[in-house]
Amino acid sequence: MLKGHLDMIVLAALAGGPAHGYAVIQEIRRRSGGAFDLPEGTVYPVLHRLEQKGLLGSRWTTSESGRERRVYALTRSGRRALADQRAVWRRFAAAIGGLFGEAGDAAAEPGR
Amino acid sequence: MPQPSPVADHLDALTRALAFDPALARRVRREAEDHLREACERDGVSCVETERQVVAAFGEPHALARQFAATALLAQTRRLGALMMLVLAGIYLAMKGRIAWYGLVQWRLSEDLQALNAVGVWVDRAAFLLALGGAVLACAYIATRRAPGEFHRAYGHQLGRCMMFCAAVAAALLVVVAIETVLTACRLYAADLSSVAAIPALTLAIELALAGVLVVHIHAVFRRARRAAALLEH
Repeated sequence: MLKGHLDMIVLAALAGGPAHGYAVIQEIRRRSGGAFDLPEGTVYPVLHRLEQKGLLGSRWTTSESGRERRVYALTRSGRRALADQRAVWRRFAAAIGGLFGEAGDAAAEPGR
Repeated sequence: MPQPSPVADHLDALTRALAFDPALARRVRREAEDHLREACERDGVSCVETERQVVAAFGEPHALARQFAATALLAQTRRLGALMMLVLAGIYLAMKGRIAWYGLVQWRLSEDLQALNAVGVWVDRAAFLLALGGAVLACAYIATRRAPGEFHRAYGHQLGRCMMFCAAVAAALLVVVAIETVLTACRLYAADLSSVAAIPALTLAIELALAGVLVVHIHAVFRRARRAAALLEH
């Protein structure tokens, strides 16, 4: 299931600003509370694919340690695609929540 | 005895696995090296054991190469489709330019060459239309392909079909250029060679060069696809 949503996950990880591959995978791990623990190299084919689609831009920079690194950032199309996918995902999550009766549970518990 | 370096070994293995696209291999190696070195530094003192753990967390080189291959090969095939259309347009313009030149300088054929020319032009036109139809079909097929998350056998067959379409178009174009070469050579042989022969010779050279570029490019894409297909054996 995770594989089918990798593009969206990587776009979401870059929503906070430009980052290199290692920082992207760390951000995914941190924001998912460690639930999305992918092989770290998996992020690079996704970054390259998203760049080819025009959803990301990239450039070489030099890190503090003097190493060359490729930094990726969302393009305007990338931000639009992320907003679209976020809206679709929220509708989907709300519908599944409804099926599981979570909306009813939430209504029954006023404190939630 | 040199200290073993799992990171360096892993980078070498990744570069070898990505041999189907040397430019991609160089770029991925630089990115992966930065990633692995940073991970080693974050994990503390860089020692062989730390490097082993970092390399294991990065993922198996052939599995990563299969993920890169899916997108990279489709991009190459799309570029091949675009090149094929440009070559077709270039050959068409070169042919039309030569014919216009014959009209401009009122270069008429001798009677004994007219029969050969009529047959040649008919076959030439049929081969060109075949190439054009094939190119349109090939481009439509290529445009409707979507890269999966990972290169697999069925996807390899789809790309193989794209390349076979392109090869068929190239074969038809080679027939066109071969006929054009014969017809132009006959015309030049029958006439006195003068400065007016420069334009037919130049346009023919352009056609030959364009056809050559297409054949070389198809061969390169075939070779890369074969190397990528070898990843499935790992």
